Amino acid sequence: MAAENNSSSAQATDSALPTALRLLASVFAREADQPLLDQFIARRDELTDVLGRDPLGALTADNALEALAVEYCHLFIGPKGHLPPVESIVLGEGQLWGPSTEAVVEFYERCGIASRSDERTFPDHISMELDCLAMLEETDRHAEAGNFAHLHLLRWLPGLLAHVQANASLAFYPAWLEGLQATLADEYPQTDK
Amino acid sequence: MTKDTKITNPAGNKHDEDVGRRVAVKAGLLAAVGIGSGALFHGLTSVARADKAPRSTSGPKTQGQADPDIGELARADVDGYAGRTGEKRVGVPTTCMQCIAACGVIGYREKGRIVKIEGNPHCPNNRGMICAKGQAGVNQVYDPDRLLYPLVRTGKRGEGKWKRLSMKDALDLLAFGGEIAGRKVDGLKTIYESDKPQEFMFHYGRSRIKNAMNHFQKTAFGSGTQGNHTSICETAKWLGNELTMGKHYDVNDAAYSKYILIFGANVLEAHTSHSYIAQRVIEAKAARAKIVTFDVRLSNTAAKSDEWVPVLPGTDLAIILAMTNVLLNETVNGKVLYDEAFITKWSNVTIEELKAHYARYTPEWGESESGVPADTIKRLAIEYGSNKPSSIITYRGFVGHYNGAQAEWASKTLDALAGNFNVKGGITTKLGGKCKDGYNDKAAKDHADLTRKAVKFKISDGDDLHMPTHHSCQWIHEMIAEGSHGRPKIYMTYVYNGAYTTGDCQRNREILCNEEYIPFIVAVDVAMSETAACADLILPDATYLERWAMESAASYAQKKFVQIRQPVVKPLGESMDMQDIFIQLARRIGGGINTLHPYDTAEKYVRTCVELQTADNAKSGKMFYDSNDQPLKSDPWEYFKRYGVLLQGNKPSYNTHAKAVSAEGKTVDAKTGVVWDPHKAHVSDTDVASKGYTGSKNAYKGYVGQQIDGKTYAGFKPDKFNKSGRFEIRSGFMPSAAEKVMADIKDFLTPEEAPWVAEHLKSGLPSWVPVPEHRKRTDKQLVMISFKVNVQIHSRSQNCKWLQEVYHTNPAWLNPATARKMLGKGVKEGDLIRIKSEMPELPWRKGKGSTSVSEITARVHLTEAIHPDAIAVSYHCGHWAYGRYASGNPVEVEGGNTGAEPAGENIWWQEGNKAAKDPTQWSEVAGVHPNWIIPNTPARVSGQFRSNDTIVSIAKA
Ligand code: SF4
Repeated sequence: MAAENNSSSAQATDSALPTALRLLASVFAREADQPLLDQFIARRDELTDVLGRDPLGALTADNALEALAVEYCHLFIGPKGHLPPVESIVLGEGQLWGPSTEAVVEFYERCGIASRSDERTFPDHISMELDCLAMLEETDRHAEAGNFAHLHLLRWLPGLLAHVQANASLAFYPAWLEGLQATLADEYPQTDK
Repeated sequence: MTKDTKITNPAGNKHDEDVGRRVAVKAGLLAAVGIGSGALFHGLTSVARADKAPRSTSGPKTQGQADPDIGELARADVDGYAGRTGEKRVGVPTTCMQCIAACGVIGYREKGRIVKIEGNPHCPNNRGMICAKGQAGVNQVYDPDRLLYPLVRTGKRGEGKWKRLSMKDALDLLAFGGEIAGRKVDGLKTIYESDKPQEFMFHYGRSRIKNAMNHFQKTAFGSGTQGNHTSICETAKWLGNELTMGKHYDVNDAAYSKYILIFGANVLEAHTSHSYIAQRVIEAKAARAKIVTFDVRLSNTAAKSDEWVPVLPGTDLAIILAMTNVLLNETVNGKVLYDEAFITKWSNVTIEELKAHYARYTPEWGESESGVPADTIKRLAIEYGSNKPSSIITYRGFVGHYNGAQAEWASKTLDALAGNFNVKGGITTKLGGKCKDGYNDKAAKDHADLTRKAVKFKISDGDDLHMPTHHSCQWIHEMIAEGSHGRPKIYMTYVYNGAYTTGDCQRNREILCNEEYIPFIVAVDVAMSETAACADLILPDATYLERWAMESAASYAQKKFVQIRQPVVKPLGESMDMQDIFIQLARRIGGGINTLHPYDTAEKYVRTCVELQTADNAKSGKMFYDSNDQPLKSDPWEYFKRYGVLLQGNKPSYNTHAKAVSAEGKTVDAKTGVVWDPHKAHVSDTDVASKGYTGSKNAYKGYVGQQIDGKTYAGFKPDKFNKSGRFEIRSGFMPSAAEKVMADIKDFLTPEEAPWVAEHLKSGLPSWVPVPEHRKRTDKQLVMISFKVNVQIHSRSQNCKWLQEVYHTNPAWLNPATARKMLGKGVKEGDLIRIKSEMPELPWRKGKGSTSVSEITARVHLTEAIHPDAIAVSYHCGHWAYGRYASGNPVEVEGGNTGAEPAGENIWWQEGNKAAKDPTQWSEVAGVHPNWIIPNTPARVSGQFRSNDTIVSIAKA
């Protein structure tokens, strides 16, 4: 289970993956909110260490919230030139809630997972797929998580990353997506499929 | 590691082999220590594990709708087929809104997703059949560019910089005002509480929520500053109908016609009643009716007709006048072709008066104006007059001209003269279902003291127009810029894309992007649009497949019915039904407007409407019928949800004007014979005595019937002005237009013509009015017309992938002979040409009558299927801010993929370059929009957008 305020580094390391996946899900679920951003700014050095580069770049406490909101909208929401971070679109199905989405929903069902009733995000949104991985890892279902990652997230992450790298005006989202891709590639190497 | 999972690390930062693991551990620690996992995203939850897939436990679900079994509703040919996922497929009856026809449809939902749409067999209009556009409605819900969240502008207006707001924050901003991109704006509450509620303007496109909209804005808020979209297509037609038959909407009872004349209407591809008039025209054809189409182009409708008669744009009126002349003067087997009994009893003219007036309009004269041979005019007029019942179908190609209203007036006169009015197989006035309204008939009555009398800025009716009974929407931007009639502080558009759909697009953009003209623009829409791109705040509307409404369309079954709109799925993202947005805004503004919105949801409002009507039925002896025409025995609300329609009549109704009505207790106007109720029309006794029916303001609202030979009949009920209940061929409303019209056209008439044209205009009878500018067209110039095709609606279907795949570019149709003459002998199919507007300015419009952009480029389509003096550029294409499908601007992702299609499958995006940077230039993937070079100058009488009048020259690009 996820560790909250856990002082034992061994326990923290055990729960690190699901918590990391949830953090990554939070980064992509919506624009950074003030509490999350405050943490990022307060722990800027650690964050830079985590990701291998400073995701905040030239952003300051004064302008980061607005700048990241605009950047998130520009990259993922639109209304123009954006790529919704959902599997059906990045894989080229041309419509939201496509066959990939159905396949993701079916996977969730087989794993005993479903969208929360108040959640209006698409089931194949990057944040939901990361949450799925986190839930599976929390319950020691690493093999199922690996299977899901290869069937889904790892298939479309490169497309999303390429779009973000080509269109981002800030380092933030490319840095996190690169970190995410590296994490998934290491956690779920091909042999796990 | 597969190709897919290979880390390309293009940013150049160093990742050693274990970097991912390190990121996970460190990020996990960082999150756990710094943030706490409770604050992190949790979008999923544990549920019972499915033993066998599939079994749906997630995805959008909709509450409250019927969920009937497929077998009960579906057409026979699909009855009972298994769903793709193996799950039960649920059919939800609702109403299409891809176009205005409002066909009854069934949306099929499987695992929370709409998988198919087909026609509802219980709908008396479309009888289970729908068109391609209706089927592609699925794409409206799942469009990747769909607006799913409120957006607020962060850069300059029109610059394209946005950020997301929550719906709560967005509604707060709209209600209470705030700061947008460093500028303070007032919210609705401030305006509501001020003495100028008219500073809130609402401008709607295809809304289908008229009652809720008018209740919020007019009755509760007190603002009548409202714009619509009618003049883009048919304002002139509605006026022509109102002048003669009273109501604005005419219904061609085509299935039973023996002879159908079609003028400038593409009924088999696009029409106000498209799918159901199309099927009835085909039925008539199967029954050996003759169909003749007058059109500039050989449309698919013309191609399926028995005859296509090419017409010089803007001269249909001359043909109609000449055909009327023939009808008045020819006989067949010794019998006259006109219906003297109808004219004598029901109209306000005599045959002799008509003969005298129409004497000038001979077939030879008709030929001189239209180019259609006199023999053809004569032959077709005789056929039309001797194969009854017959009827004339007209639309935008017919009325989208300077003389559109006069043309419609003349065509209705011809139909009346032939005796085709309100007869089976002829032409009828609208018969539409009516349901009591939860707002008008309850909330406003329960709290009458809180309602307001709406005041407005007079900016919707143009300046100096004669009778813009359905307004002149294309001129609203100009009126706002001009400013002397007032400017809105909040301009709220609802599914209205005036920046694209009206002419002079560049000017539209400039006005909308000027914050001095309009401080706060709010766009509510399903998809990003060219207008929303100029907004400050965008609210995502629920699509028509995700919301509730009470629907009623003109009945082509000639019996009244109402139809349901109910959600097939729940609104995606944060999108919200506009009716619910009104409720949420009312809650925020508070006070009277809040009390006047007693329903928490649109669903409750719609349900109340049905309950009120049910109660009224019980009181008045009316009843609902089921779709088998039997009196409804079950609960109306449950039946409505389950079958989608409630019939309010069970047999076809003709000759409605001849129905006897009671005059008891009512006032009879001596001059006109109109029986009316001055009290209902809020006319004082003094005015009744001194001004009578015709002179009292809004007296028509108290119309009861028409006295003829001592009896009172329902007559031809007026709708917008104090017309009598007769079929008014001679209109008392038109002589006063003569002066304005003559001022426009006199410089374009010959000295011989001017006196008689002026005299005819003053006669109050249908008369010739040329399109003035066309009189000065040289042989190096053409008339540019626009048109619509069968798989697109005007401007709002281009986000539908399936439709764009079929039709996404619009080469300009040009006759090969014309092309050789104007572009040289070497001209080839597909050559790029420049189309330049050379529309002269009318004296009335000096300085405002030309377009800001004068030229577009297009590829040419050489075809003999067009009149040699015209060039035709369809609508639908050349969007620049309507999403990737409409604009042809794919989003690049790795490997050259388009972001919406796997490589190799997306045919049209591989055809050539991406969309042109300059939207006035031809795009190989999205075509070009003709409106850049069509002036917005309204037709003087009706306010109609003159979409088919522009004079252009062409040259090779
Ligand atoms: S004609 Fe086609 S698009 Fe229009 S309402 Fe009917 S099905 Fe829908």
